Amino acid sequence: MNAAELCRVLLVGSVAAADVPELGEPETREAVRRRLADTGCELAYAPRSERWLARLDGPLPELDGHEPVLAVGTAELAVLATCWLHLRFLPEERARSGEAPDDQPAASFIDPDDLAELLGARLSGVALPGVLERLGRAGYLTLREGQVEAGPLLDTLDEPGAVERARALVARHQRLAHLRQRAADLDADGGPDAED
Amino acid sequence: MWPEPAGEPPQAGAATPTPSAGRAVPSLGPFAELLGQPYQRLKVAVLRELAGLERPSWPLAEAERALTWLEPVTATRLLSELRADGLLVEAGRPAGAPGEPTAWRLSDEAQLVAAVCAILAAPRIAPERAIKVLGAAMALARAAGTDERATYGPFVAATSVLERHLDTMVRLIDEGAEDALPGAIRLARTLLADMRELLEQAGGGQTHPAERRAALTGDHLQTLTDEVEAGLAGDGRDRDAASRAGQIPSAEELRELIAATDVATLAELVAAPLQLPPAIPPVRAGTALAALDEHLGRPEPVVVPLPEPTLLPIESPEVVPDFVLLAADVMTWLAGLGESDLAKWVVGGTWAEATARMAAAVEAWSRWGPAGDGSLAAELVPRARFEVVGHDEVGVVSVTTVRAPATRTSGDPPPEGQQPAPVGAGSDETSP
Repeated sequence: MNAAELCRVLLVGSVAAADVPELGEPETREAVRRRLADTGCELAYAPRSERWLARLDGPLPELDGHEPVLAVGTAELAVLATCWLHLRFLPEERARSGEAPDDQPAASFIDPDDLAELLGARLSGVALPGVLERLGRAGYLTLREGQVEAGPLLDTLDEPGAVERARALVARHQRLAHLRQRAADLDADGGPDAED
Repeated sequence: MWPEPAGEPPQAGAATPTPSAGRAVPSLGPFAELLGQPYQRLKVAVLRELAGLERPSWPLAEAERALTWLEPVTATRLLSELRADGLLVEAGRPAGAPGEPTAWRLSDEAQLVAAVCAILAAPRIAPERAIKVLGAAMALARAAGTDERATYGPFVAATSVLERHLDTMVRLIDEGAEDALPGAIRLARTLLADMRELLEQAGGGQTHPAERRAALTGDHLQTLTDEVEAGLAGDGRDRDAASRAGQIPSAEELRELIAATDVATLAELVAAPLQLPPAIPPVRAGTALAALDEHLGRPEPVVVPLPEPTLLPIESPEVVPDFVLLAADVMTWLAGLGESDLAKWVVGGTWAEATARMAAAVEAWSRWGPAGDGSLAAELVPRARFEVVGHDEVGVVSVTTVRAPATRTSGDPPPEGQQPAPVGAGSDETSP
């Protein structure tokens, strides 16, 4: 395949690196990058799934009459964030710290029932199966044998900014959990009513 | 003693005086509700106005002119009532040159009431001043020499302020309102400092229950404030307090986090780094038309006619022979052939079929053979013989021979093509 054909393939969907050895050649890869850049896209590689993919190289401009093929709303983003936290952030954090307890292996999949329990009632009436189907079609998730696995595009969220935000969120949650516990302990041990 | 204020206008049936339109009555704040009727409020407002004049004494005419928010007639009447109540007294010295009208001033009690009312008239006391104001009230009560109950009343109120703030901080923690906690910490520090002053002002002995409760509440708030401040500082001061802040979360902890985080915050987590994939469907008009052409080019489906109905053969149940009778017929037929092996009929087909035939032969032999009614026109003769098994082994087998009964001439074969007769048919050949 030449660079133009590779671009067509990538613009339609991700492709296994083994199926496009041409992208292993620096000249071809550079040509593909250039062509994609001309259309506001960029070439990316998902190392975990070993797939090449194209993605937008910047934020999507807002236009009133625009009808995107893949509309990502708050519901989709929340589900995506939940899956990313479980399937990418947590394993990476454990690997980074060398903390990987044997009795708590990082999950490689999520049960859709778990997602429904966590988020289902908070998606403003958007049905979770539909959200999963859209995210799967886009390549962020893979639905296999009734489980939700990471899709090739999920790796593209592993940016320092997102990781830092997630760490801050986790730290905030842990702080507040600790403070709640301390407040409860103080209330039980030495609250103003304890003397009474 | 402070004279009781008049509850009604002096003249029975007189209407409550109303302020002139367009003039502002000095606000009494929340205190106005406590005063009840509008007439009493007006009297307190007049006291406040007079206490705020530049000079401590003045002619009544000047006082009337100061009450710009009252009709002159009403102002005159109210001043007269205040004089009657002993709240407005002669100053004891002329206000100006000889011949000038008598000077008047507020009595000492009226001055005190006006001062306290000025404080109470504040529309709102800032939270950080609450205990300070209560401390001042306690000091005022002590200075006025009131009883213990009046002295410690503000103490109880100040403790209540601390308890409310403690509840507020716990609520903020429960709600995860981390942004509001620094402000709550600052307020807690101010309140705690004021409460310490209050305790010192009370002597610091903590002999009264109200003091002990205040001290305990203060300690509680102090501890929680320190913990929250350390936790928010994130400088590691809270690590020894078993906080997990900054540690790698467990999967369960992550679930709790997601459950406790609102959907919009979760969405923001990935909204920024999200770079959508291009979603171009790989379909062109030519491709679609080619697919349609291929579909339309398929051969038209042919309707296969239904098969013609045919009559199925019906077999009467009586036609099916009894298997034991069949065995007797077969043995009779075999006996008619001369000597023959029963195995010729028994062996064959599946094991189940062969054993069924063997069982039928045994049954027939039992019924109609020598041990039965003797009507079977055949005789079974078992013989043991050796049989070579494999290359160098032999086995003993029992061969059952079928032959005509001994009464028949042994060398007399049955006629050619003779078919086995039913057992018990009574033919000469089968009779014993």
